[in-house]
Amino acid sequence: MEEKLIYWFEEIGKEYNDVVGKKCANLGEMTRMGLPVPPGFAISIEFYRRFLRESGAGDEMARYVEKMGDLKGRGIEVFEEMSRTLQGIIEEREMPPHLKELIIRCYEDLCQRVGIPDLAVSVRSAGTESRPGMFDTYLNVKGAEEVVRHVKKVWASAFTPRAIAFRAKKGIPILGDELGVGVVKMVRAKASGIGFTVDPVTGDTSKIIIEANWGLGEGVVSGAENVDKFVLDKGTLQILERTVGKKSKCVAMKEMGAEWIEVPREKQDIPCLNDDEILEVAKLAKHLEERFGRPQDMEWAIDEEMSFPEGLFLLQTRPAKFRSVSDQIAEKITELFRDLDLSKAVDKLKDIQFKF
Amino acid sequence: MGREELWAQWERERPRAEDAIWDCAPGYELIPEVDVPLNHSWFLDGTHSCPPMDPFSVYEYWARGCGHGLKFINSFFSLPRSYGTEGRVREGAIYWAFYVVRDEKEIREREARFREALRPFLEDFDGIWEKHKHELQSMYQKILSFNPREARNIDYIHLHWDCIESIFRVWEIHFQGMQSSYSAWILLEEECKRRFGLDDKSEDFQDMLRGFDNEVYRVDREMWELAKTAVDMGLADVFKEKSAEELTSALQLSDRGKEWWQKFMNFLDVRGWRSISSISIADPYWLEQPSTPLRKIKDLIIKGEAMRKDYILDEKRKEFSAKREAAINKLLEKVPDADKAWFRSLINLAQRASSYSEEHDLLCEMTHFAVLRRSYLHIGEWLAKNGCIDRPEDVMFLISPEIEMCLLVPQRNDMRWITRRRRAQWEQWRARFAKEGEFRPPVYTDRSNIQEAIALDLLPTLDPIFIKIVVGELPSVSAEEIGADIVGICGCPGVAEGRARVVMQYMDLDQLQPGEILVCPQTSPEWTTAFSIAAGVIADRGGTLSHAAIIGREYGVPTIVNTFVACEKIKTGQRIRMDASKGAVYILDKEQ
Repeated sequence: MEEKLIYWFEEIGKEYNDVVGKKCANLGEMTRMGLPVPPGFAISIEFYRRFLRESGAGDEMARYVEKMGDLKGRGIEVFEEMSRTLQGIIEEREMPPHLKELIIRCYEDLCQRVGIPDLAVSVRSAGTESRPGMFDTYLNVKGAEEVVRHVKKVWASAFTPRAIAFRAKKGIPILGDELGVGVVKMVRAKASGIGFTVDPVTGDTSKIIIEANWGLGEGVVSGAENVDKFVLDKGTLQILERTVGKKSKCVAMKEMGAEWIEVPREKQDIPCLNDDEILEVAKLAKHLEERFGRPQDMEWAIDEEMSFPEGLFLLQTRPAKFRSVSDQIAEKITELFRDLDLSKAVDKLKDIQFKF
Repeated sequence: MGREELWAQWERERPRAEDAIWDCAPGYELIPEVDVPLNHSWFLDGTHSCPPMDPFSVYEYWARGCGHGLKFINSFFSLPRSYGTEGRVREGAIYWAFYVVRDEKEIREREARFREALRPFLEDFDGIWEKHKHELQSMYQKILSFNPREARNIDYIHLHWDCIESIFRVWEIHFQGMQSSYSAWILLEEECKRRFGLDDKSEDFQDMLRGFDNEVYRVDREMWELAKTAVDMGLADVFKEKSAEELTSALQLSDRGKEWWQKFMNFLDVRGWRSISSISIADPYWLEQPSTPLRKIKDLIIKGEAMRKDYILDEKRKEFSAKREAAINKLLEKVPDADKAWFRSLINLAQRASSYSEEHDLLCEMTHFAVLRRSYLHIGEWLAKNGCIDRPEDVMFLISPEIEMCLLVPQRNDMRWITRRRRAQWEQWRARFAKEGEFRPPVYTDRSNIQEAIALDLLPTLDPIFIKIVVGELPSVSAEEIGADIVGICGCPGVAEGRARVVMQYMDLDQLQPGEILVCPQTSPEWTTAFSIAAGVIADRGGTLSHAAIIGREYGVPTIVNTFVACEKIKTGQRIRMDASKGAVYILDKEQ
């Protein structure tokens, strides 16, 4: 029987990390848990290896890397040169027809499932280890041929000068970052953002914090623009604070791909979420914390074409990184007992008293 | 020398029973020429050693048990600058020395572990304490399930081992809650002082931390209810006329008296496992000596407390919890946003320090001592019945290996030569203590004086328990500087004026009249009822987390602690005024 090379999200979970990469495995896990993630499929790492082997790209790349020799201490121009060569090999080699056919069939199945021909999808990189921001993701890709082309672009993004330099420095083989690829239905986002079930700055776990902007999530995650911020009480889900930021720019879909655009003047100073939407995002965040048993850092988006709350999608969730209140107190106590000066007490102490 | 000769010489030179040294603390005898070079300074524990203790308590409970707890807790939390505290025994007294960590590199390593070890307590102090309470209660229940009517000799030895094990374990639990909540209290105090000039003697600080219920107060409340019931049942006159000791038989004379007695017995069944001292197993517990709780109930009736419609602490608690939220909010307003979350969490934890101080007293000490005393009286009865010792109480003149040795075949072991000798010595020391006061040196040290010993061998440990107990509680000004006669530190703010009543031991508390200011050496839970009667309380010893200060705050009674000389300088009957916020005591009529 032919080995399985592509998986629907509902077929996989966390244990597939090494098969399809971390991001895909997580999307699978979330789908399996019944969380509202957009539908899609994962192209396995084995698929990538097949491509390398059958197209001959693998051998060519290996020969090239061997020829380059020891990379320790080499300058950036070497990595740039390597990047051009290696990315060129991947992008120029034809995808073997039977592999290409597999992707096209899955994409068409997805279009059919959702009921939209030439469905807009995002094509996402998924390494087995988390390297935030290292590899590329392509938004708003439409049509089977384009999906195939962008899958190769994702693979090639493992060979940016930065990624090569990183591996050279860490002693990871230059060809070592093999990527899985997620093909996910694009959420045509009216607004999107992030949700925290803990205040990452103060470690306050009694609050939920939501940051939101018009358009796609990249407009919040990048942290480049002013956004809206809402703070809710985690217990009562009461909205405690609303800060409406001046949202002059956001990321929007164009015919193909996505871009930063100016937000129309009349929408800049009004909140991009109404109270129902805020509450629904908060509920989802709280639900995630309960399911995973620890504070979460999640990404969400609200589809403008779907009815609410069905149009609220979860794109990503992970354990929130924060300094807990207990960490901060423990640190303070430790500092205190380092610096406490008791010298003044000495001359007053004529005797001492023990009482446990 | 021939073998026979060697044996004869060995025989001649061996110690005789009649000149045997005080031998009740093997391994823990304080031998200055050995121990002082080892650890520089050994400090007398005056709180637990005056008057001198019996061998079982001083050795098993304090030197081994408490000493283990103090070393355990420093390892458990990896306290950066201390390996713990070691106990030694001399003439019925316990002496402590501190293992200071002096290597800076090691201190840094310990700090990293300290942070980690603290965290679970910062996250869930209440949960851990609940678990520990449960563990303590099941431990006690198991020990109390011992039934002498059905017991065989092997059951006695297992009872003994369970008790010894409980001593070690209870001390481990005891110090976990104390170390973590006291650390939080000290941090909150320091942060408030540094940021807002607010220290733990000020009203704004104390208001944040009072108005909580706990197990000790619940027992007090039940006694108040019993007093009220007695009044309602028309028994007030019996309580007024008879002494606490006479009440037991006096109440049997009427049906109503018998009915009340039954209620009282039901109360004692649950609450009577409570030692009156929690220092030595020589002291009885309530079930054994009901006159102690009866005296409190009698006092509540005489002083009119039983006539109140509502229990005093219920009213106070309502008032203080409302004030508490306001005080916390007032403080938090001043705290920058980024620090608010951990500050609030720190306040919550510091609030636990008072409650824990009271609750652990009851569960780790008073109840434990009652359980131990009952068990060793059973063991003593078994030994006495078999002619091994003169009377059951004499078991406290034996230590673990001796008890183990004779428990299984008591009829063939005669330990009276040991118990009689140790009892005679013990009685002699107690008589001497009663006559001369403290006759033992306060410290064995190779430093030049006690201050230097404290500065070099105690303070560098920066152990929160010792900072709270020994160090951080001294008045910052002298009496002369503020124009007062005596100065202490503020346990609970407020001003009071009235006749002074000096009470040296809790048995004499019935002398205290409503509106008087109580002046005493220090207080323990047996003194609590006095706080609903007194207009103010002055205790010569204790810090802001001492019993007098905690109870003073819960009752809202002006309280000054650590005055050192109040009992000596103030005479009963003198009019005095106290301004607790300043820690000032003024004697108004000095001629009297």
